[in-house]
Amino acid sequence: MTDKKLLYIRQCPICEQGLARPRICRSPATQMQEKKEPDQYIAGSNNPNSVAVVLCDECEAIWSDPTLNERIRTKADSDPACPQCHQSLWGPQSHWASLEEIYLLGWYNYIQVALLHTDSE
Amino acid sequence: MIAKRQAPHQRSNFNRKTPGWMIGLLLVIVLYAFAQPWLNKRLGWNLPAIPIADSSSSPSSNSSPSQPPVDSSLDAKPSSADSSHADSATAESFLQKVGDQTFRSPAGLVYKRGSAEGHRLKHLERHLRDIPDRPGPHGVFNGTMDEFLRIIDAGYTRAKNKESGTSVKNDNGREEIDIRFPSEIGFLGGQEGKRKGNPPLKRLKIILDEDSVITAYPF
Repeated sequence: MTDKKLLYIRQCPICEQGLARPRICRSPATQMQEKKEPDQYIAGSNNPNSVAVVLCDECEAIWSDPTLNERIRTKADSDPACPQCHQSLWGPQSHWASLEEIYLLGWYNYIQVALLHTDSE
Repeated sequence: MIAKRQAPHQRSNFNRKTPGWMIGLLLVIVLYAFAQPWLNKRLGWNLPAIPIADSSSSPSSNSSPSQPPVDSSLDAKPSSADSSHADSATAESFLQKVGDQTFRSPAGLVYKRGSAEGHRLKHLERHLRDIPDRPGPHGVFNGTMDEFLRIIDAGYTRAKNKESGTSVKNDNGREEIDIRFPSEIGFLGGQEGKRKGNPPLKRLKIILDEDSVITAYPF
């Protein structure tokens, strides 16, 4: 059993079951740029070409920012998709945002932290 | 001198008391072993399991002793997205494999890759057990993965036939199906469930993208 920090904004207003959580998508072009200029970026988190969205981990609703005012409706097959590269937000180029990334995005004030004592998020 | 007189007395007294004391202890252990999984699931506690040496038990059941044995075949597979072909072991009993890591139910629902867990079936598995520390509500189904898939199919069929107690809502091209059952199908878990004493749940929500299941959970 391990402790995990779960970073979330709030309960999803659509399904009222999931948590709206910041997710980062780094398209292949972004990753190539980081490889070319590794000194410019901190673990890919401050690349302006990375896309940050808010994603419900249950119903997969997407928003453009932590105010949850603007829905994003891009899909890849039946998966939620990045509005920029249109790849699935469950793909290997995408991940839940870390605290450092959230800080760099300026979303820190919206974030709540839950400590999970289980292996499930 | 005193020691010599007392020693035989103490030894015989101990021998007389041992069987009753040991039986009592054994009874407590057996009762705890039976009650522990139920208490953990129902009340969201995290009581430790009593380790029982059993060479026939699977590695997966040993890895999570505090959980009820809800679905050993899904437990046994790694959680990475690339390993979900192991789903077929469970899915084949009720679902038909129609493509690479894609399964179709008798009612026509499709389960394929996706979600944070890597596969929709793996995501559904999360709703077979409580996550007491998770913020907000977390619907937990009472039963096995196989029973969960069957009740999802039954609910979907009822909603498709527009039976009473069902409703369908559209959101961004997705269908949110709400089905009410006559008896409880699960309980409310998560932090909210813990706070409310894990009340029973009689409704099922299914979220579909066309015929693909995104998620389903009691609520």
